[in-house]
Amino acid sequence: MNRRNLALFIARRLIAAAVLLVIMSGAVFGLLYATPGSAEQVLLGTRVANEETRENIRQRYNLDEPLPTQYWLWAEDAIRLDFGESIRTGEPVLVAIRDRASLSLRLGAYGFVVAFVAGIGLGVLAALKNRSGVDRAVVSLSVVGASSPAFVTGVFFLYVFAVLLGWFPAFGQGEGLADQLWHLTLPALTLAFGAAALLIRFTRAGMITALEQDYVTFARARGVSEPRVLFGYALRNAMIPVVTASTVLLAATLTGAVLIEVTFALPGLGALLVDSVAFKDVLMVQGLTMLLAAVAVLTNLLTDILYLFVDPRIRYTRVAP
Amino acid sequence: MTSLVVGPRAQVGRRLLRSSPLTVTVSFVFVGLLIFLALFGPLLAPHGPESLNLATGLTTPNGEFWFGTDDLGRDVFSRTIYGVRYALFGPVLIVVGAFVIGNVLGLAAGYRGGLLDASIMRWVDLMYAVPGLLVTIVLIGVLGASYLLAVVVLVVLTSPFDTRIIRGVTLEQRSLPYVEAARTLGLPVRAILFRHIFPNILPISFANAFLNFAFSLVALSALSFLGLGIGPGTADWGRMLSESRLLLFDNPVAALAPGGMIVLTATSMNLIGDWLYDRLADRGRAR
Amino acid sequence: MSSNAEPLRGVDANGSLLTAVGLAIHSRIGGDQRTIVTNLDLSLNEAETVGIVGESGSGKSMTARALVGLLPTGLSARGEVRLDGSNLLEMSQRALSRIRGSEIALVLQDPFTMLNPVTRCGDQVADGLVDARGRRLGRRTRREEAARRLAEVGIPETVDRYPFELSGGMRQRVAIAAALAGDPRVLIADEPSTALDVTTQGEILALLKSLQTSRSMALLLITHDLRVAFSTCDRIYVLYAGSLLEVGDASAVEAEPLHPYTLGLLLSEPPADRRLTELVAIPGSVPAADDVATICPLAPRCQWAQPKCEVTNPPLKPVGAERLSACLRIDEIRAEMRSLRHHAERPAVVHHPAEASVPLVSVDNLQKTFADASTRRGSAPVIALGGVSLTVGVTESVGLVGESGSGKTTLARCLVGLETPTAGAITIDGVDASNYGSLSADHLRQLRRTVQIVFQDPYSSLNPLRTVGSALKEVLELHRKRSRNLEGGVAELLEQVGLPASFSRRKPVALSGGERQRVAIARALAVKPRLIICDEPVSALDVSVQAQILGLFRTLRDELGVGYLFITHDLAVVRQVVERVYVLYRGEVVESGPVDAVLDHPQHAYTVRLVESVPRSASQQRPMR
Repeated sequence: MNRRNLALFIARRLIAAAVLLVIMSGAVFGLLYATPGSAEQVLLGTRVANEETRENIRQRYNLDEPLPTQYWLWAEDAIRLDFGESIRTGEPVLVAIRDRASLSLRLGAYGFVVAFVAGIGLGVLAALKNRSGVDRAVVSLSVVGASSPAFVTGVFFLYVFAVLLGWFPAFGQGEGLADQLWHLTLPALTLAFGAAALLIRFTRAGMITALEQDYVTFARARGVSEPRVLFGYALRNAMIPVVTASTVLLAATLTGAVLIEVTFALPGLGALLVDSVAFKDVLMVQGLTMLLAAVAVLTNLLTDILYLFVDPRIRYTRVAP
Repeated sequence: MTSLVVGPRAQVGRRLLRSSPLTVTVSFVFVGLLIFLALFGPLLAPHGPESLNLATGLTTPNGEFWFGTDDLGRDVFSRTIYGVRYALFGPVLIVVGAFVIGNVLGLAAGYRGGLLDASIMRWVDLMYAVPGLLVTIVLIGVLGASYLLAVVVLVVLTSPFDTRIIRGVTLEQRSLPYVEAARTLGLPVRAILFRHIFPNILPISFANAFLNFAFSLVALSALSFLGLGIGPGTADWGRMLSESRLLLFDNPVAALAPGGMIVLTATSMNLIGDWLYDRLADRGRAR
Repeated sequence: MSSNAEPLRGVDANGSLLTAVGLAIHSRIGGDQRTIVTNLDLSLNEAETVGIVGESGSGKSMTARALVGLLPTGLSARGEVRLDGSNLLEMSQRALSRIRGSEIALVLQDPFTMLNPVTRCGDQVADGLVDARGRRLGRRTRREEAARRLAEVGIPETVDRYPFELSGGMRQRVAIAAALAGDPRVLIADEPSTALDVTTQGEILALLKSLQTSRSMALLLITHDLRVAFSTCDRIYVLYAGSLLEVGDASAVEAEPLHPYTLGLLLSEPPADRRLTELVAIPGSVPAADDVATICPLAPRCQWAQPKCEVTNPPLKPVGAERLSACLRIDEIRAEMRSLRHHAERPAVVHHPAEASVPLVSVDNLQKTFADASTRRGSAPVIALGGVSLTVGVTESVGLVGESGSGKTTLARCLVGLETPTAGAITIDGVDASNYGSLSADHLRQLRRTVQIVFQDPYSSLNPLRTVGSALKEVLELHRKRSRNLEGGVAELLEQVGLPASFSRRKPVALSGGERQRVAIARALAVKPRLIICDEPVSALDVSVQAQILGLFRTLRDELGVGYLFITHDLAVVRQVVERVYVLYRGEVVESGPVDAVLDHPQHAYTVRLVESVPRSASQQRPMR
């Protein structure tokens, strides 16, 4: 492959991602005006409304400027990650996000690792034992997983593992690393349940398709060792649709994380978003939504690049200018 | 050799059911039960959905209250039955909306191609890039909670998936010799689209509708769970779960019953949808 | 050593490398069991090339799979397959996996799906290599060894290339190198040349033959093409509906087939070197093995069948020296078969219409460039047609010969408005048809009634949801508005293509490939066209059915006076149906003229290559490059 073409490809993708972000930022900025009530009223929140505070708000958020200028000034701040102060607490949005991010990241990472190992492992297992009892059990598990919203799974897990069996704590975050992991296990399993269901689906389907292909039969027909056939031939090709589906997977994981934080009363970013939405804390919502948009756009970009490594055909066709 | 000539319609239906695995048959029965409960549930429910039994208070399941009561003394069993209506109504609206939009845009993009196709697909790509349910949460939260708005937003968010699928199969059909022969024979576009292409892609949009139903139910329930969309106190499964999840120690059924219903309903729909898809794939392979 | 010295039945495995005895293959879908192959005996000696010849549905591919223990899920084999004395059918997959590659290997048909798309060719060749202790080789040795193996098949430069970068022929070479990496003593090749272009087919067969000789390994060639088998194999087995019908030396079978099926197959494949007066076809289509389990499998289609043929499935029995035939009546009908063959192979005189015949279609300097080349590598515009000119006269039949990528299909699609040419002119019946989009409704209708098209794939040529009758009626309604008797019109169309009127109630699933193609032809005839463009109309059909359809084309032409533009890669087909021919190569006409002149005395280097690539038996073989 041509190095220049690769650079061009990535540059084009970056530009597309930037354009997407600009469009989304417009929508996020618009949230302030979409909220019922005047912008001033919204930004005031429940604070006492005297002339001075009103004037401060108009100054701080440039409400007297024409709309495009307002967006421009907002975007300038947003690039510096300054989304203003929370209407509810007065705390800077960035600080609030930073304080809550670590819990959400830990939850996400824990859940994702479990989902990845279980999802791909069970998916491969089901494909190898296609049409057997094991396969049917794994498929049923994945259908139920894909049909269970995270809050229902969470409540069931809480009931079974915390209330009935008492193996895990029902609420709280714990002290120290081991204890924290302990407390985070049920939420992470809940997250993994939904994500693994999707991964099982994609892996199993991809693996079954790959195992039926001529290249697998031909590899066996010339004595290529079975592990090499399974991993070098079948799984390697089965991963291509899984990478394609990873954006769907991310969307499901993000949504799941929000619901799980509410269900388990974990003070992470998701809970912050739901609280802020309920309180109409528009500035906080803007900051969180922009973060969300950035994460979504970035994963799309990463998927595109990951694709290049998984499927050499794309390196040659799509990358060419 | 077995006769492949298609017989009367009733026979086809029977053959379809006979060839379905047990789980799918059970799913069909369960969906039938749900429709029955949606129509006649209020006649069967022993208590009203909102009737408070403050004297009784919170109880565990017993002879009078089969699923026990919640903290306001409302009968969980009756509320679960009333909840069927909400569980079917919203998703059906979303499914129908996404079906119509998806088929119209998908057929147009797939058959006409060109600029129309390009612009429709850009929109679809944009929609794919955003996590739908979180957008809905933000929009409903900021714009003010309304059930109808939630439905509209979910139609907008679901239809790109339909559009992409329908466009794909339309493109596939369009390049098949039977469609090209119809064009060469001079049949009008209307006849080609509605007499030839549409009937061949209909089963796929139909299978997809079941999967959409499951997604919509989960999404709407999640909104209710977060207190968005449907009003407080309503006998909606998501709402009930949210209001009773702190009662896990006192009357777990109050939380588990509505939660279980959501999972059962979504699972049934997904099983039926998957099964229809598989059958279509098999039919394509058998040729 | 020489096959002639060996006993024909492999029961006594003296000197035989690979033998199958009583091999039976069954499939189980849901509850019902279906037979694929019954009671097959086969032997393969060292350094011998043996062919299994059969049409689709004969069970030949599954036999190949069974011999290496790789039947698809749901299929199972019984009987014995012996290699060096041990029964492969009783071995564990682990044990088999050690034998595969080092003792026996299988090459599949489709070079486009056989190689792992995400792995470099060199690595795939090296995957079959192991050291003396059965372990994978080191990195550098692997690469060197792979390069050496690829050099053996003539393409050392592909070591670091991905399969998608290579042409079909090159991919097939990589596959052969990979299959031979473990130096097996037996190579089974399942239709190794069928998916390739005509000129490449010959090269691959020649390569296999030369590898077989230089490595003195045994080669089992599975093919549907008797001519390929005659030209490559020492001995052949003829398989039909899961049963062996004839076994014998290739040259002996070619000289005189000893089963009506072999004769029928031979006559169904028209020769490329002369036109026959009459095309002999086997009527009907290939049955399922279970439907003919207790009778002679050919009986329902055989002109010599008698009641005694429908009593048992006759076993192979010796006929003369070293020949086996499963025909009960072979001794009685041998003379008749000989005279039928003699009669059928009489050449016919090609009738040439007067040169001055009015052109119905004239194409002038037609060009078509595809800007979006998603199907090809890179995105440089692909020139499908680089300035093609041709004419088709009224009631004339013209052939357009070319391989894939020659632009022949693009030309056909331009003629009926499925593609719009980039430049150049098409005139049909006096109407400028260069751009269908800008035609008036009247002109459009006139064109539709003048030119129709029949496609290659009969399976997707008909809407699966609509009956034959409604498909035909739809067209009749559109173009013969005044006709009151639509049912009668449908029946008449079906009769013209040789189908009973009762077929109008059937859906496409209930039709065989040949029947579907007949319906597709009837649908084109419904507008009473003056020219039918036939885009490879028989290449997706079984050999025994091809001749039926070619015969139908001839009949329709005599009865209705319809002309054809016959697009094909098959010189034999062209020779049988058309008077004039154009040879298309990479989007340009390189040669044209009367069919006899072009095929007998080709001028252009490409046409010469094309004519030479037609498989010839050993007796008439010219030296291959």
